[in-house]
Amino acid sequence: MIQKKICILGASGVGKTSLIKQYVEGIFSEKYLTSIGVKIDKKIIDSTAQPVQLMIWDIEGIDRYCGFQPKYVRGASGVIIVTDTTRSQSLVEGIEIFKLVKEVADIPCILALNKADLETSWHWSEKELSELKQDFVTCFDTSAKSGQGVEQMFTYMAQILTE
Amino acid sequence: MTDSKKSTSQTAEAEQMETVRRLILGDNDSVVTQAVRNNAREIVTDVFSEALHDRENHDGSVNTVLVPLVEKSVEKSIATHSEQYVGYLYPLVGSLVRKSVTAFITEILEKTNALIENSLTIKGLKWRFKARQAGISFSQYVITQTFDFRVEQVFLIHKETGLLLNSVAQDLKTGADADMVSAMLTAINDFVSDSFKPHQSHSEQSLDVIRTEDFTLIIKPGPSAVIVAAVTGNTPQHIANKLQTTLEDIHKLYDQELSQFNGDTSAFENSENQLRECLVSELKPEQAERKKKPWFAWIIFISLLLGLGYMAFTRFQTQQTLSKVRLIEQQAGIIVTQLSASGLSAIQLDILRDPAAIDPLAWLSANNIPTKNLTITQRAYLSLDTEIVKNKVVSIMNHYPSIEISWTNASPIFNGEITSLEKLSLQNELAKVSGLNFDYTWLASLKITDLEQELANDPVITRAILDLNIAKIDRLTVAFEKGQSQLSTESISTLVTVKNQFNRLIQLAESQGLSLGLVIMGATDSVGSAAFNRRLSQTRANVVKTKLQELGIEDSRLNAIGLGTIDLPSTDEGARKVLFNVIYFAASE
Repeated sequence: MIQKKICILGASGVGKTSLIKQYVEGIFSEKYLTSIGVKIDKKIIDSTAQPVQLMIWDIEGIDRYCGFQPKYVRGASGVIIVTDTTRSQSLVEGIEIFKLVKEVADIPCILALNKADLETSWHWSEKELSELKQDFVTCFDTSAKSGQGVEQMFTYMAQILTE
Repeated sequence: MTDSKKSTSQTAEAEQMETVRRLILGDNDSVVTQAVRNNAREIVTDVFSEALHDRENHDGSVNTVLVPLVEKSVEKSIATHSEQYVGYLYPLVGSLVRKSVTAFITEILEKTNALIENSLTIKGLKWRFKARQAGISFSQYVITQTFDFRVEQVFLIHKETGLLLNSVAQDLKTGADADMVSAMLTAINDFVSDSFKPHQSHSEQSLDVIRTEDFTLIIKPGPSAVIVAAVTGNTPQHIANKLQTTLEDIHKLYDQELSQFNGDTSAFENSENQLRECLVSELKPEQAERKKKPWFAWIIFISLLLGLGYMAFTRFQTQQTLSKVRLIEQQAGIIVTQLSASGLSAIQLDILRDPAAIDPLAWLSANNIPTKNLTITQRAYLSLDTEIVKNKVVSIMNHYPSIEISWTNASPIFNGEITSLEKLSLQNELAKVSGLNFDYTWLASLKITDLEQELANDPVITRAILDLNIAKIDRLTVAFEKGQSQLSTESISTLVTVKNQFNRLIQLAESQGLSLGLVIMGATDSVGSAAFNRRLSQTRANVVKTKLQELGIEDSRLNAIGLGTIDLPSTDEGARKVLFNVIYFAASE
């Protein structure tokens, strides 16, 4: 079976872990996240042309106190950068991370605008947003709470990785 | 115009070109084809193997074409030369079967041994307790205690992605998902190498060994792949070396696949063989020694076998004894009512036995049948078997050694010499044997040895003979009609017998100094008066007395008495008679 490593990145508190929790039955305890900065889950996707097993690396939130750990992205086939639509700063940090990723690896990135269940309250205009979106393969409105867009996002990722 | 000129010159050029081509290549390229054909063999030979290899790598079609061809030719070959194939395969199959049977038995023995050793012994119980304390399964604990070291699981991990390429494990279930373990191991390695990087060092740090109380993870990183072994026990250096060489081999073999890895792990399926070679283990010295000789299992196995053998043998012996004992039924005077085996070797024999039949114990010992486990219950009965009757006669004859018996069917004929007294007692004894219908004629050919004189010489014998003969006379009676006293013809012949016997006795009695007398007693039935009956009875006695006198008995020896009525119930018919009683007394001088 084809296996692919993908990384979930984003600022602290944007809901990366919750997004994955929504999607997979976790095996490892979340305490790994705080101890070594990464937690790994597995998901097999059958809806693609050939089944693919995603190894999902949930990487600790990146902020001004905690630097980006490029080694964790090494060997990844795709990246999902998660932002929080209630916090303008999360997109700024997301774009920062995106740039850092692009420095170490030329791999497809998906932008997830998380917390779609809440009212959008950041200060980004539609125009600014669509300009930023252009660098990404695609963009999904997701909600870890309602599950909106989560499955579609991972399936999409699996599809572009197996094409 | 210019256009048409142009096209005309083009056509001419083409024709010329065609002519030149035909000259060089020949008709239908025959020159070139011929040239190639001449060297076809060499050309194909040079590249044949390589071409096959390339085409197979390209689309795998070589195999598709070859497989049915090979199958067909093998099939045909087997069909036509089946004998030869049997010859080829015979030694292979034989040794295969032997090996597999040996392996099967060894496995069973080892399992039994391990089970007994680990379950039933104090050590086993202790281990069970300790395993529970440590919170691991018993089998896992046994492994840690039994093996000096054991490689439980080997992972081959793609270095860059942390994806698991392949993994092999011993039977032990660790419960962990190998995919996740390998990814997590990669993450940890990344974490460690990043966190503890010495200053100004550009070389990448890498985990080498992770040790826990029970497990040691040995990590051997290569340029594109990492090999990780989970080992229990004391890890020796040669394991690390083995892992290193395996990793190098894998890099050599899968160089291209590793560098072009895109997440498809199917290319690494064959690496299982190399990884499996790393699943080595070594028993603890004393365990190893013990393992070589599964004493417990052997002892139990052999004693079980011996026990079964003993039981089967005993059962067989008992059956043999039973069938031998059953023959006792053929003995005369013995009837088997029950013969059965109970338990393993006990035999119960119930018989009916005539006292004259053979003693069962004697018969058993004569037939060499052991009586140790035999219980005999006998009950007596009277057998009419010819043989038993003969036996009884023979045992009687033991007292008469001078007599021989010859048998015609069931009738004996006695020959030999005997005294008359012996003859009398022999007669007596034979008459008592049941089943023997005694007949006096059997004794007819016996020769009596004692003479009258000799008889007279022995007063005891003489007296016995006298008594016997007196009894004979006493048994005789003379009957009369109702109220009559005339003698019938029959009565007269009885009186003749009385007279003959009595007169013969007189001589015998006198030889003993005895005097004989005969009391004649007349009797009547109860019809009529007592006085009449008394007279009638006296008359009857007198008639008989007179007749006996006439016949020749001295008057002085006779005494006639009228008894009158014999007043007893139911004597009516039998009471009209005269009775005799011989008396003797010492003769007067």
